[in-house]
Amino acid sequence: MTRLSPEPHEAALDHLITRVALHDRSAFDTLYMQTSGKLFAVAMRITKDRAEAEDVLQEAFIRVWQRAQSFRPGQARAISWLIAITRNLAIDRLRARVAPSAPIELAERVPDGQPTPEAAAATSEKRAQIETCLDELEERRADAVKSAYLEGYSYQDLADRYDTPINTIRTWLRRSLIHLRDCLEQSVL
Amino acid sequence: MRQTPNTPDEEDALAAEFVVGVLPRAERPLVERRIFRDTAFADRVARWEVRLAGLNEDYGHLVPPMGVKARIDRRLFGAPRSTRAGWGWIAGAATAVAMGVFVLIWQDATVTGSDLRAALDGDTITFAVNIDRNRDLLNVTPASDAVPDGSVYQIWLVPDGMAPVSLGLVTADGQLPIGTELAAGDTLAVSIEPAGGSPIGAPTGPIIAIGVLEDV
Repeated sequence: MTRLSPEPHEAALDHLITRVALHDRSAFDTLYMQTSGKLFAVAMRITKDRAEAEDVLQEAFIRVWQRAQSFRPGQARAISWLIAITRNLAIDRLRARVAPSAPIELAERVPDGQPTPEAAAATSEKRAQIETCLDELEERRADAVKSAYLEGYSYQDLADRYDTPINTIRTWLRRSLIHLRDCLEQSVL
Repeated sequence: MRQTPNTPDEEDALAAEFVVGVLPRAERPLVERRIFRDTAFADRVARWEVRLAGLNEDYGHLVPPMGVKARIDRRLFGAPRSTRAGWGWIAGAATAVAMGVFVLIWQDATVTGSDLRAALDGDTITFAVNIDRNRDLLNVTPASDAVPDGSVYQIWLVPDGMAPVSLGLVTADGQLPIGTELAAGDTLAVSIEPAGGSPIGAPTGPIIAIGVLEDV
């Protein structure tokens, strides 16, 4: 398998991860080939630093090799599982920085890749569902949820950004997330 | 960290805060430890990862620089990327031979005279699979019958690029009627599932062994 498609087939990824769980090195190579572009984009968007993003990508694949056995194909999409590992590493690294992060407005914009049209079509339903539910929230709360998830903002970053006390931010973000959950569960039914 | 939350909504809000990533540095390791020791809470976290996964599309793609993969391989294997395909299988087979089970099972497989067979290898267990000439009965023998309490072994056909198809549960007599077409070259795998088998038609437990059918 040498496909370089940006959105590899989900079941094919499940299959690769189960092979990686049994320490099949060629499956590991293929998994890297198929998913490193997505995971590096995640790491860059959160760390906004090329060297750190490379370190995060490296740690993520080491963790995948070591923990592939904990992947449950029936419970999570393979790509979500891989992205969750990468996001956690990137966010931990961000929080561990001694110096405060660059002002959000000045942060380097990472160019989005060009997803293929078929990839965009295949994925838009889940994305649209979340957008519908975010639309039910007050605009800046929806914006806070989305930007915190995508950019890895902390409560402190959000407090600075919205010029609001951190405890207030925390209270309304938690409420917003519960509302989002209820909306998403409803739309599944 | 605030007091341990109690209500389901508070639990869910904490899980969501972790997944979204907003928690301060001091709180993240505490939540991580909870994920490790509290499966109910870990499930909440996993559900949030699924719920918010739609946003992952916004990340796009960015090709990493050359050299990162070589660094990963050096860290894991002490050498740059090997081009030898199937290294893991050779290692798995070597382990099985070292355990003395592989050879025994293989001999057992040949004397039955079936026309398809596979050795499904894992880190800790090997299954011998035989399929009779008429392809209507699959015979599967684990190298040990130490299935965890309250669990069963479930055997799957894993077609390339498609979701696994259940072939059934590994029973005491090891015989399964075949409802699916099987041929040499097909990949089979075994997972650990709750009693009665996977409730969702796809593996929910860990895949513990995998192998390819071949003509005898």
